[in-house]
Amino acid sequence: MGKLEFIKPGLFTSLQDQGRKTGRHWGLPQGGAMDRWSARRANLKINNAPGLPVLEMTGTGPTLLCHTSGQLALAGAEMAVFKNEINIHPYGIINFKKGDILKFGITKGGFRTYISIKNGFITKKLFESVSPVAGISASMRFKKGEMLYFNDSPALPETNARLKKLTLFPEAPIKMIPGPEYHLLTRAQQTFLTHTRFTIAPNATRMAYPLLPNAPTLKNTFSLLTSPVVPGVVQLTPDGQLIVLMRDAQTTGGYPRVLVVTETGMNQLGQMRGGDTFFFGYESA
Amino acid sequence: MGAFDIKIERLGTDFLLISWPNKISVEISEELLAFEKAITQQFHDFILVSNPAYASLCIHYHREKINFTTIKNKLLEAYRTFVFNRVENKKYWEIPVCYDPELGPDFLACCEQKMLTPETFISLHTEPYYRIYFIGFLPGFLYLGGLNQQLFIPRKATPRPKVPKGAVGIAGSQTGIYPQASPGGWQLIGQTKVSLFDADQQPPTLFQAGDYIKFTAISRADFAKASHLPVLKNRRSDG
Repeated sequence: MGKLEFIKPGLFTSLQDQGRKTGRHWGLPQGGAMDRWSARRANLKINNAPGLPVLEMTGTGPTLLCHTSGQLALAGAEMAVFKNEINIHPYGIINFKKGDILKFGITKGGFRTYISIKNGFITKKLFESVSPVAGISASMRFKKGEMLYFNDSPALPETNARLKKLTLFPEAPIKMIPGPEYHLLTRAQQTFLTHTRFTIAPNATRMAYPLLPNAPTLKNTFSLLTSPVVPGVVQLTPDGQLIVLMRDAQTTGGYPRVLVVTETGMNQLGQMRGGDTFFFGYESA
Repeated sequence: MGAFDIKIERLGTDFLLISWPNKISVEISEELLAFEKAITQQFHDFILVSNPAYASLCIHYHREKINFTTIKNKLLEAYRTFVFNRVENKKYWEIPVCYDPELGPDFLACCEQKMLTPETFISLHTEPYYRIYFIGFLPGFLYLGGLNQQLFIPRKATPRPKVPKGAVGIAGSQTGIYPQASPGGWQLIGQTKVSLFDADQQPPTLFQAGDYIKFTAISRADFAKASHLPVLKNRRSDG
């Protein structure tokens, strides 16, 4: 069994997959990689099944001590990688051996980078997904000194064949469709949603991205029964705050659901951080 | 044929939403849950998981196998031919609660605010069978209907940073139990040992949408040795 140790955990590092497809009726969040597209790409680069767990790194990557040898690949935001303090090329397959120290740097052109490992990480699943659940999992992210285990694999030749820069999403509007309560908005509010450059608030998390500025508040307040919500739902609170629910969102909520971001839009948002700006755009039919 | 006008719409890329008239009613809830059961059996190849709320049902469907328009038409057709049999398969549970002011730090203030003696307050809270409309918000959190109007109390102006697991509370017209320790603004009137969500058990909760629960008052001494399991009661004859 392969083993890696967290010398430094990075800003927010966790194992993620394509998300939970069970348990919503018990209130379990979906979870999964914030940018599922890049998570699949990381696996495909190293010939893994696309849905295997990957290590999601956020903003600043961890420093790992390799207790065994293995191979890994990266996808997502650009990131510098140092092996024993030497800057190595991050786009191909990276071989490591016992005693190596891998340091992952700061993300560039995005916010999250994914590590896939040849043959996959070994980890406990919680209701068919490795994604941690708040209040149930011991921790939502790795801490210093924790270990990561993976299946052993014969060494792959260090290859430049896949040596290709990763392309993330072009600067494009975040695609959405009108939500169940969109029709209750005033014309002014509807126009506001598609004509405003929104800024992601600094307290954005894997659960929710609050947006700035606030929308014009509702003239006629209407009462919505607690109703299902899913990752991508954009809620509008009574004081005009817009909130995009992200992968770890709760399963029900009581605020009007004015928009729903598409899967592509969610992957784009997963590469954005507090302070980044964007426009919403309708998904073309 | 279903009894209501329902609407089916997309909820993003992977989900769809079926909506019933927007109100809290046992009639809607019972039909919705029966329809959920029927379609998850009939379309188990296409439906990954579903979750109900008061008057709507969210479905995570397998978009590699079926597109939205096709599944929408199949579901509408299923509703047209749906026969709602009021099958009595719901369960009735008792949940022992200790209303000791040390375990329910807002209990005495709530009694005072509602001008009720502690005994009356407890009898009003333990009298009804509360319907579990659905589970949501947090893993294992039960949305209960049926709180006596005399016990409607607004949530606290300032939420507590930490409410213990098992705390029983009131917020507005709702009563509920915290399935895990978390911050919260509910008025805390008691505590239960009954586990609402245990990740090591399969299923992690014994409660299901459509079941009914009743609180029973226990002493501090009984609370100390209380079980993590709720008490399953015999089906009530009046259903």
